[in-house]
Amino acid sequence: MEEYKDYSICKDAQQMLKKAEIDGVETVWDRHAKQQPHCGYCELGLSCRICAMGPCRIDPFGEGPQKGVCGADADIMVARNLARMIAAGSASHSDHGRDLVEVLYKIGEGKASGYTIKDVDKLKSIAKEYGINPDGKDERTVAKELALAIMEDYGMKKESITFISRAPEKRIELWKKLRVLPRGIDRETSEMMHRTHMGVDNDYVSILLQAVRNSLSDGYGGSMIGTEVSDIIFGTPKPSFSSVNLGVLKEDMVNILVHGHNPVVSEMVFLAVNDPDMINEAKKVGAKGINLAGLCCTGNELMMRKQVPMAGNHLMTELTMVTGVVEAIIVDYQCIMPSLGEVAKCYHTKLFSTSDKAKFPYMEHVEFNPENAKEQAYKIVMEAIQNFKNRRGDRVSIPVSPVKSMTGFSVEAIVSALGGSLTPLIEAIKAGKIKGAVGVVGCNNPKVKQDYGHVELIKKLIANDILVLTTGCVNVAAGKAGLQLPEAKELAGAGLKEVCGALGIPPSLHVGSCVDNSRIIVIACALAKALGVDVSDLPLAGAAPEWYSEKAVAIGFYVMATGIFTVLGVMPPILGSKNVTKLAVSGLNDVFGAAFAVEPDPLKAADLIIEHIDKKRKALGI
Amino acid sequence: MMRIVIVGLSAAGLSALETLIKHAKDCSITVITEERYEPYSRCLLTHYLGKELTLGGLFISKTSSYPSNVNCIFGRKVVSIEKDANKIQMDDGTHLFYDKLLLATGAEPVKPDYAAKSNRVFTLRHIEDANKIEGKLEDKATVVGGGFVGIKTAYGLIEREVKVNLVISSGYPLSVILDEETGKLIETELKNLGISVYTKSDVFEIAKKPKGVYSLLSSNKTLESDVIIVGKGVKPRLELAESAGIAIKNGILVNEFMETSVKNIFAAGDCVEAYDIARNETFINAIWPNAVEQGYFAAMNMLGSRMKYYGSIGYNSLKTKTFHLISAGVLKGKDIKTYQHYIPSRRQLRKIAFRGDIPVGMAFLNSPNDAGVMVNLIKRAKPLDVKPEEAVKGDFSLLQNLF
Amino acid sequence: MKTVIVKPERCVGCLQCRFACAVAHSKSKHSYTAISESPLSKPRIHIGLLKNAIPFPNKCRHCDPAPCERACITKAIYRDEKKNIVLIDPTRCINCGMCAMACPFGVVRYHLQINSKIAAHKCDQCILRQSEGKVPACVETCKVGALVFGEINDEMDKETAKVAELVWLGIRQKSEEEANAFSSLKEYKSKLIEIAKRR
Repeated sequence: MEEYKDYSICKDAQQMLKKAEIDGVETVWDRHAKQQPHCGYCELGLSCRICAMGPCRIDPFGEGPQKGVCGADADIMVARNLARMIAAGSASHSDHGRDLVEVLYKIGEGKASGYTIKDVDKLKSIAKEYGINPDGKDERTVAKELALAIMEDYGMKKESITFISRAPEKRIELWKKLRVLPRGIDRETSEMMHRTHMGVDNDYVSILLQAVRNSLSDGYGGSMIGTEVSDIIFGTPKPSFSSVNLGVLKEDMVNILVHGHNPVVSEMVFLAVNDPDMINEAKKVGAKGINLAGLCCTGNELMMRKQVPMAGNHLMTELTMVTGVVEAIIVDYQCIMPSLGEVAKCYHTKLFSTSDKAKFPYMEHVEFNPENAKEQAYKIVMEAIQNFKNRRGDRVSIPVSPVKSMTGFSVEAIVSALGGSLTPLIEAIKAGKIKGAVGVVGCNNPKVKQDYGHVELIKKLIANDILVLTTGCVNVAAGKAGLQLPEAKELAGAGLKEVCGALGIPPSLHVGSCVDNSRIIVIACALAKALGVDVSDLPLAGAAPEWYSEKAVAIGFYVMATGIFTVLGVMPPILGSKNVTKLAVSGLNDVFGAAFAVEPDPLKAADLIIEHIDKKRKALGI
Repeated sequence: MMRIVIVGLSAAGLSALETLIKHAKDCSITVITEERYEPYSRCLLTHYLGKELTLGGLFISKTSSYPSNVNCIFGRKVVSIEKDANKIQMDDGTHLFYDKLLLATGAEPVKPDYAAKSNRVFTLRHIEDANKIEGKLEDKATVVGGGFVGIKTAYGLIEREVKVNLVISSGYPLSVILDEETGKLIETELKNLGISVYTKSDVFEIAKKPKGVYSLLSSNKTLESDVIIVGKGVKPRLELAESAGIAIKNGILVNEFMETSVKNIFAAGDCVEAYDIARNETFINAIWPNAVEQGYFAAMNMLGSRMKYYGSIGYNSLKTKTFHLISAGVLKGKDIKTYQHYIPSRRQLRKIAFRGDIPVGMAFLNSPNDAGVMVNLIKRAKPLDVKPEEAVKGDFSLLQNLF
Repeated sequence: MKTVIVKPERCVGCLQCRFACAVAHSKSKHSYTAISESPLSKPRIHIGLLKNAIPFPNKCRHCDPAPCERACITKAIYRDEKKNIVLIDPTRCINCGMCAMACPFGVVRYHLQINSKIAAHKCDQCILRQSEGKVPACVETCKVGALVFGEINDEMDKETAKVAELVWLGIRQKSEEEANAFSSLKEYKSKLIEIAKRR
C-alpha cells in the first residue's frame, strides 16, 4: 500500500489501485509510467506538427535546428501550440453551451420532453440582458427568443458577446484597447485556428492576444452561457448537503454513474432513476433501489442542483469500476478516458455513450437529442437495472465510507447566504476578517499526487483567512478532505472562522462544475463593480494545482484576462520560449494587471497567493 | 622465447590460449588436452542431447586457424609436474619444459555409487557421454539433481518429447542458490513444462530391467526410464596439482594474479577455488563465464601484466520457452536480508539479497533487461545508491547506481 | 577509431534514436514501410529512466574485453577487430540468456531477427551504414547532441578545452546547463517527485 501513497492521498484510490493490480487492470498511472520519459521537445513546447513541411523541433541546447522549416522560431512555435490548446478548450466549452441553448430552443418549441424551465426568474433576467423584454410573454416564447439571441453570440453578427457587459467598465475599456473583446464564440476559435495555420500570425504577442480573446469568448461566452442556461432549465443551485468518495456506491443497490459534462444528459438520467416504476424494476432484480452518483463535471452539476453524491474526480473514473459494484456508466463528452472500456471488460459494468460527438471503444451508443433524451435515459437505466444480475460477488470491494460535503453555492446562493447582497462580504474583506478569495479549480493529473495539490493549498489558504471557492475536480478533493463542511471552519483562521460560523457556511465553497468557473468571474466582476474598481485591484487569486486539460488553459487565460493572478501546479509547455515564459509570468501583469505563476508545491503556491493578496489589500488601503 | 604450457583446452584453457594468441606473438605455446575433439562448449551438450544442435554446432574454435607458435596435443594426459625442473610429464612418457604453466584441468562430475551397477547411468560432461546416452535413450529419462545442469538437461529432453522425471534431494530446485519461495516458483514452472518433479527424494537403489532401468527413490517411489542422467555437481580434478604439492582446499588455491602456491604455475577454471565476492571467502564457482574470465586473467598475468582478478560469483541464466530466471551470488545465509517485488500478473519476480548495505545476491524471474546491471553491481561489492525497495521495484533503471 | 559517444545530460527523452535505429535495421530501411514488416525490427538503443524521471540513453559500448563475448557459450558473440565492433551471429546464438546476464549495462535483448530466429540482439554500431560511409542512425537523428560520432580522444579534448576556459575565466562552478530551459524542466519534474513522496 505504501507505494500507492505516492500516487494519491485518497484512501479509496490507494485501495482500489491495489485491487486493480491484483485484478490485472491497467490504470492511468500505469500508462503514465510507461510514457516516461516524456519527450522533452514537446514538454518545452518546441515541437510543431502543424504542416507537412515538418514535423519540426527546436534544440533547446542551441546547437541543433533553431527554427522550423517555415522559419518559426521558439517564440512562434510555443505561442502557436499554446494558442491551439486554448482554441480546443474554448471550443469544448462553447459546444457545451451550444447543446444547452439547443435544448432551450426546443423547450421553446415544445419539443423537449423531460426538460422544463425551473428558474423562471433567471429566464427573465437573462432575457433582459440579451435585450429581450419578457413581460407579457409565456415561458416558451421567452425561451425560444432567448435561445435565438444567444445563438447570435456564437456567430459573426455582433461586435462583442453579450455577457462581456458583466465586467467592470475599466476592464471592458482595457479589452477594447487591446482588441481582445470577443466578437463571437465560434468566430474567435475559428480565427485562432486560422492564425495558427502556417504562414498567418507569426508574432508571438499577436498570437497570444488572439488566444486571450478566444479564452474570453469561452469565459464570458460558452462557459457562462452553459452555466446560466443550465440554471434556467434545471434550477439555480441552493446550499445543500451531499457526499463524496467511492463510499457513495452501495453494495445492495443498482449503481449508475454519470460521467462527462452536460446536464442535458445527466438530468434525464436523474429523472429516470427517481421514477418509482424504475425503482420497482430494481427491486425485482434483487436490489434495494437505484443509486445514482456522479463523476467529474456532470457529477458536479447534479450535486449542485440535485444533491446527487459524487464518486470521484478525474483520476478516479477507472477505479470506480474496480469496486465491482457499478452496473453502468453513462457518458457524454470531455474528460472521459478511452480506457474505460478496457477496465469495464474486467467487471460486469456496461458503458453507454450518448453524444454523437463522442464515441468510445467498447461502449454501447445510445444517442441523446433534446427530443428523445428522456426516453433514452429510461432505456439505459433499465439496461443498468438488468445488469445487476451480472454482478460477481467475488469482485466486490467498496473501500471507504462516504464523506458528507456541502454544495450548491451559486452566486445567487452566496448572495442569499450573505443576506441578500454582497455587502457583508465586502465589509468582511475590508475589515480583514476575510483577507481575500481564491478560486481553486481544475483537474487531476497523474504527474501530481492526486488531490495533494488541491487539499494542501486550500488548507493553507483558509488557515490564512482566505475564502476558497472550488469547482470541478477540486470539489471532490476538498469534499473528501472534509473541507467543505461548516465544521471545517475549525481549520480556518480566526477571521474566516467567525464569518463562516455566523453564516453557517464552510470556508471552502463548492461553486460548481468547470463551466461554473464563470460563477467565480461573475462574483469577481460584481465585487469590482460594487467597489468601483477593476478586478485586478481586488485581493483575489486563482489556482489550478493539478490541471491537465486544454479547457484548463482556456480557463486560466480568461481568469488572467479578467485581472486575477493565477498559480498553476503543472508546468504548461512554454519553457522552450524565454519570451513567452517571461510574458506569462510577468509581462502579462503590465498588460492585464494579472499574470501566471508555476509552483508545483502547494504550500509555496499558498505563500505566493497570500503575498499577492496582501499586496492588493495594501494598494486598496484595507 | 618464453615457453607457455596449458593443461586443458576447455573454457579456461581456450580463453587463455586466445588471449595469448592475441598478446604473446613471440611466445611458444603448447596446449595439452585429454579430449580427442576440437575445442567444444560442454554447456551446449544439453542442447545437443535435446536435438537442438548437431555435433558440428558444439565446436567453438578451429585449431587449424591458430598461428605457428601454437602447438595443440590431443588425447594426451599430463601425469606429473616436476616443479623444480620446470617440466611436465605426459602419459606417453614424453616431457615438456615450461617457463609458465597453466593448470586448466577442470572438474569431473560426481558419480553416485549406483553408477557402477548399470551401463544406463550417465553423467553429462563430455561429447562421449551425450553419444552414449543417445545410444540408450528412447522415450523416458530420469534426471537426478536439482542444479542448473540437472534442470537444463531435463529441459533439453522434454523439448525433444522425452518423458522426464527430475529427482531432487532438497525441498526445491536450485536450493544451493535460491531461497525456498523462489525455488518453489521454479518448481511450478518446471512442472508446467511437463517435467515430473520429485523433491526431497534421492535415488536409493537402481535395478536393471530389460531395455531400461528402475530407480527406487528414498521416498519409496519407483521410476522407470531408459537412462539415468546424474547432475549432482562437479569435483575439481586435483591429481596433478596434488602431485606437485600445490596448495589446495576444495580446489586449487590461487592469489589475485591467478598464481598457485608454486612459482610459475597458474590455475584457472573449474579446478580453481578463488575468492567469491558475494560469499566473502574462497569458493568454487564452476561456470563457463568464470572459467573464460579466469583464463584471460591467468594468461595476462603469465605475460607479466600483474592484472588483479577481483574474484568470482556464481551466476546463471536459465531460459526456457516459458520463463527466464537469472540468478547470481547468494540469496540466503546468516546476516542476509532479501527484498523483493512480485508482480503476479506478469509472472515477474525481482529479488535482491543484502549483507548489511552491500548487495550479495539476486534472482530476477522474467525480468532480464537489467539483470546484468544487478549482477555487476554485486561484483562491484559496493552499497547501492538507491534504496533496496527502489532497486527491486524497477521504477527507474539500476544504472542509477553507476552515477 | 570513431565510436558513438553519449552525452546523457543532453538527452530530452524524445526516443527518436530508438525509432531511427529500428528503421535502419529493418528490411526496407524506410520508416513508412518498416513499421509493417514482419518480423518488426526492434531498436538496439534503450532510454533508461534515472531517478526523477531523467532520461538516459543506453547502448552497447563495444567493451574490450567484452563481458558478453566472454559469457557466450557458443561463441556467437565476437569482435570485428578492424572496426572495433562487438557483433552477434544470430545463427550461432542459442538464446541462453547468458550475455544479458553478463552485460554490466543491460543492453542485450532477445528478438526474432530478420531472416533468422530469436537470438540475442544489441547495437552493432550500424556496421552496415558505416560501410556505406554514413554515421550510425541514432547519431544522425539526434538533434540535441546527446549522441555524437567521433574519436573519443578528440571529444575528451573538447571537454578539456571547455573546462580549461572556465577555469581560466575563474568560473569554476558554472555549468553549461545554467540558464537552460531543459534544466528548469528537470528541476520542476524532480520537485513533483519529491512532493509525491511526502506523507
